[in-house]
Amino acid sequence: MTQFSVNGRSVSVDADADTPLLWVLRDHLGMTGTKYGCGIAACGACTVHVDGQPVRSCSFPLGSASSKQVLTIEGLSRDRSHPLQRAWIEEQVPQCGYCQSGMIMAAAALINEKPRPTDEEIDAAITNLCRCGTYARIRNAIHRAARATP
Amino acid sequence: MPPNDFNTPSRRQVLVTGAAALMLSACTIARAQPSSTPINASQINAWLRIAPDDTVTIMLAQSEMGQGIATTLPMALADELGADWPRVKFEWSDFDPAYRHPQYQWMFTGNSESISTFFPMMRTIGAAAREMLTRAAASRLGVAEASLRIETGRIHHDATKRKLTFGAVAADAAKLAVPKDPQLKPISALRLIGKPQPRVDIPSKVDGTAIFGIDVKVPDMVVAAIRRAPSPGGSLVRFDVAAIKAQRGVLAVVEIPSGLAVVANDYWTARRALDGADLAFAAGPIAGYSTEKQRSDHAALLKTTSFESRVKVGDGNATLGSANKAFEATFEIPVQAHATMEPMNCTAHVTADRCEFWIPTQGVEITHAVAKQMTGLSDDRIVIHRTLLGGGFGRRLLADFAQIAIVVGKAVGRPVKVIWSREEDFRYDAYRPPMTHQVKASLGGDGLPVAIAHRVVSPSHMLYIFPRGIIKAEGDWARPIAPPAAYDGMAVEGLTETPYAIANYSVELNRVETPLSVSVWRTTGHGPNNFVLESVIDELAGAAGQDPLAYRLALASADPRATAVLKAVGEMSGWPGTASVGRSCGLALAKAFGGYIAQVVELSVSGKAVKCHRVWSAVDVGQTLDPGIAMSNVEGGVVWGLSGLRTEATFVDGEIQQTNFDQFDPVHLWETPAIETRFVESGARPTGVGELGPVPIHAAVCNAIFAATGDRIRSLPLSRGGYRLT
Amino acid sequence: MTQRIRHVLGAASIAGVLAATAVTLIAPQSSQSQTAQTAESLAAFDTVARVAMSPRCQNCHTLTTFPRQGDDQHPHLFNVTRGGADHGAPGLPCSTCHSQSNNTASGAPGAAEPWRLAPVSMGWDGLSMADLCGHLKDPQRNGHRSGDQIIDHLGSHLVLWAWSPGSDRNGRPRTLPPVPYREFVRAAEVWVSTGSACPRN
Repeated sequence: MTQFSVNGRSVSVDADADTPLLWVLRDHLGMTGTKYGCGIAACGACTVHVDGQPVRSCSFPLGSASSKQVLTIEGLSRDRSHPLQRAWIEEQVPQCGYCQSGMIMAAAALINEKPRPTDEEIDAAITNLCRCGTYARIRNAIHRAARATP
Repeated sequence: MPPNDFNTPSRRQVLVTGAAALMLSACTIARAQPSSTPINASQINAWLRIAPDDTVTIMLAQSEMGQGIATTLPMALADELGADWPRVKFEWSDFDPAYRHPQYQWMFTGNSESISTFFPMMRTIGAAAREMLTRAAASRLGVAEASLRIETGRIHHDATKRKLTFGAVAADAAKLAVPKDPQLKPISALRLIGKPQPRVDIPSKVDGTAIFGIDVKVPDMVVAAIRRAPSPGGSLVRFDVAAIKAQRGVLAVVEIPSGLAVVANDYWTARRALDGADLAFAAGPIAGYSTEKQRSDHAALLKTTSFESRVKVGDGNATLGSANKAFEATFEIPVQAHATMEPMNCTAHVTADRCEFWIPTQGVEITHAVAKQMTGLSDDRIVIHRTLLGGGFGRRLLADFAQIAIVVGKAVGRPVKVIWSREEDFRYDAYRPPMTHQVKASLGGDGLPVAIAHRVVSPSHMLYIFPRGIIKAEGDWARPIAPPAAYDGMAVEGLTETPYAIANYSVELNRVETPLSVSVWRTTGHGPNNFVLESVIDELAGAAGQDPLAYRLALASADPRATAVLKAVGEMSGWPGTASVGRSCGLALAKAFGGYIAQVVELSVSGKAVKCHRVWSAVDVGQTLDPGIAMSNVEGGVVWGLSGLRTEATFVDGEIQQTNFDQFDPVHLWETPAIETRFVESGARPTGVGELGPVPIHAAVCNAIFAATGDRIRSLPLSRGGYRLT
Repeated sequence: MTQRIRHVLGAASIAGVLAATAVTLIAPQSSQSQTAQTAESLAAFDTVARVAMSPRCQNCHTLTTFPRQGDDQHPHLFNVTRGGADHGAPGLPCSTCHSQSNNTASGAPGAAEPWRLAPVSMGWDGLSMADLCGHLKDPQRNGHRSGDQIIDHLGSHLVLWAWSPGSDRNGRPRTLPPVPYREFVRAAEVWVSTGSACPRN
């Protein structure tokens, strides 16, 4: 049994320690906001935070989550009120939307560390893949969220 | 903002009940206005429900894959009707003939046709319902219809300040005859259409609640992972069922075409058992297929005469022998993979008397038809619940992922969600086929072309949307939508109709068979053919010593829509003087999908590294129904097009060499140029914008590379010429 | 100082390890023994250099703003960059994808120490053997390490990782450095204790 917390809630999961956290979240905990896109840490659709740091959960085993705090897209706010979520809506960022959970979590990791990121910092931090090509709006939304946060 | 039940996979729709909904007598409305579509009562019922409690529900028949259609189409109906848009509810429809494309008689979402097909119908239905509600209210209140107005879900009698809800009169309205000639509102009276509107699906896409096919969970559901021969069509020749079943958590092992499915309660358990299994595959029918051979085969075919004429204006080839400045070049277009962010998946529950799907599909009717053929069940026993799609791009028009789910579902007897790994998704894509394209041209004394002749070697793009061996050409359900020869149109689209006046013009096609499974890929034939045509036009302009924009304006002078977008993009980009030091610009024009688009790309080349800085697009979709959604489609389309300059699927010994994103590298955020887009309102019939953005960008980029380096790119992707998009 | 090495190599190999105390970089005196010692030192360095310049080490000891990957040492995919503190750009630390052990699910390598690049001061891209040698000896460029401390570093999880680098996403094992770990460490110790001779080029 591996115990950890997800979005502030303690959970206990009975699965092999090498199960990727991604599939623990999706299948064992029923939290499907975090997505599978590639399984090789290349696309970022599976991005969550572990103890405040971004992690691509397809490449992070359950065992490593023991006693840690995991934050998923579902935990960013109760009501889409996180500045990034507001900005994503204001800029109408998503198209198909499949990559956006990971994208928003990656953006959250960036602004946690750099509250007012430059374009260069956004380029370096947001390596997630979006096949619909929403990148221009992602950039605008990150700037908007940064401006909205005192 | 409409409530979020939009996100719920649909419940089974039973279209023929009375249940106090707006039920209309069967009566066909004659075609009254050029923009209206004949509709009848059952069609209205197919799209619109008004319950006594005043709930207005609009059915969603066109799949939402990011193009925003699940907002714009219902909005058109609601706007015309005068419903209270934020309170409108939505439901995904199942298959029904009411949702078929009227011309193709097939229900699907694709080819940028949803707007042109259904937008007028939505308005007509909204108008008809509005008139019927008005009539019923007039009767109820004892006033003249003309004294009533409908606004925001209420029927107002201003003179006496009375108002009624839709719900209050819906049952009465249902008894009335459907108006023969419903009057559409003037465009100026529409409140929603024509202005950027918040998309109904976006809120759920920022908080993790959006349900895609891969997220579906239904009671008693199990999950399957699959692995198939690395070369499509190869067979599984050895596997140890007992050893796999002995793995902890494995519930079932099911053979599927070319491979195996392992079933467990969760994906990873199934996937791990499969990854660890010793599976032996025999090379299949395409083991001899290689990209190298395909390229040389196509090139060899250009030397033959087995071409079918598709367009012949003037004397075609004859002029080429005699005129000035002959030009000849051969272009190559690679195989592309779709690589939707959500890999293929389908949940199916198959029993002796029911086949139920939860599926992210663009092809509702083909899924229904495949299910019918594979199960033998009648129409009413086949139920399709549609989810959001994590990208479509043409891939989800096929029914192969439904087919496999049926096979596994039959074996398991419980609902089973079959998830393809990313590798499976690449290996078993239905690729954009490769094309080879030779052009000969000659210029007249004024420098403009007097003759252009195209010879295209290409497989059909669309033929295999109906999987071979699955759909037999017999019976009502199981027929392809048109004879095979009709599918060839896509291979030459963008060539057969151009904005240009050229006295002698011919297009010939050699439709080759391909052992690859192929399908339409966002931009279909327009993308590849525009790359060729616009590269040629640019080269001819260069040969004539003329400016590329002026040249095109001269050639397209008889086409006002083309002229307008060319002038607009010239103005936006400051052509030709835009380029800063070290930067170069390239231009391209396209007439595609009923619309027009002109693009200018500004880039710089350093060694062999190509960096795109800015892209300007001037777009004419007739009437821009939602400028915000249209803009996002073009922006995303630009990125899609740029990706297509770098990615390709190559094959060795029948196996794809790109099985994940470390080998198939689409454009990322840091590579995205600044994008500026303007819409030109020509007032023509509204058409789709989902595929326009990428069409001219290949040529625009390559024309800019020429301006920067003097190199003409004739073969894509750019890496074939040693160039790298950075 | 060699505690960790002892732990790693096991007691039996201690015999092969030179005297633990004060292994310095000062050459001994006699010219004949100096020649022989120099030859031994150079031979030992050759081994050290071949390991240091092999992909498993070189890919993280870069002078560039990015790590490298693979035996062909291509720039790390997905625009991964060094960042100001060698552990990735703000918002994309190396630990985003690289965790505490090699991940068989994704093929991403990992180690029990936070994944990161060696600082640029310890980058070896394109150095000649002679330059590399000078580099390794120079406290300004070797993380202020004495000879002992250099040896100590060789016991770190990140260095050890090079000999259990796991498999890529296709299940293909990554190639190892050209000599086994023990031989490498022994060579390093020999080199350090024989005056850390450097080749001429």
